Amino acid sequence: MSASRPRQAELLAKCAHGDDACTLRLHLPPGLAHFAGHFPGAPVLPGVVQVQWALALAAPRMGLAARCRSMDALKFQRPMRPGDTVELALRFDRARGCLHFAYRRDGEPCASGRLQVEAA
Amino acid sequence: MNDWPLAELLPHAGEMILLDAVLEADGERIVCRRTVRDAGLFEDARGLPAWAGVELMAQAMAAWAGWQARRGGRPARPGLLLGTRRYRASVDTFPPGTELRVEAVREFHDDAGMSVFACRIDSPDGHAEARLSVYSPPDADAFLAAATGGTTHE
Repeated sequence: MSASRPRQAELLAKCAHGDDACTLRLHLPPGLAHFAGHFPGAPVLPGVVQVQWALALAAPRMGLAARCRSMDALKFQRPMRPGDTVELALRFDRARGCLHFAYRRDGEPCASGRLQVEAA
Repeated sequence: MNDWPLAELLPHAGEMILLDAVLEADGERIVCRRTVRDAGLFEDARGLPAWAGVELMAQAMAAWAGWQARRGGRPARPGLLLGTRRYRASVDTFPPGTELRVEAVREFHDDAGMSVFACRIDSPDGHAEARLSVYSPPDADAFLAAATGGTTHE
């Protein structure tokens, strides 16, 4: 049943760079709930889930509200797939209220963007 | 305009289908409908978060491509969302029960499979808009197989 499938990436390691930046190492579980329907036979991590995770992982670490109604420069360059291990770099620009996120796999950019987020 | 169920127009399946119906479609445009739920992969008791609207827009684009393909007697081919320069919503969440009207209008396309759609979500509770780029190569299955099967190292 889908209710028992994981919805989150597995956090393998984290490295904080001050209060407003960190890098997280994530493993994408093959049984992730989103893979079954996106797409059958060709599972790739939906872009919207990449945004969801960036927001959810940054909010508690940087004291941010997990809300966002404006996004800029969203780029999905390389599909991420079941079993991948990726690095997610997060950086909050407090002056601009802007959360930068970037996913990389083996050093190659997979996706990036800027989310307008408020401090909690 | 419910000639085909959305599950037949979209390459998506199950819980990842975030649209309910096609209301209108023509050669350059589609309008879909979604009633916001209170539970799901992206929805919760507060409704649908504003940022998730980008996936509804992407699915409207995919539904348009599927509708075009079906009319031409071809199978729907998957497209990959490349991104957007700017997405703006007027609310933090669309509450459960809200009727969303999701429109995508094709503004640009080329022979290589690149397209740009102007998308919007309208509802009594708020709206969102963005211009989205999508890549749908002529041989999408081979492209996806390469993209999902050959690029990583364990």
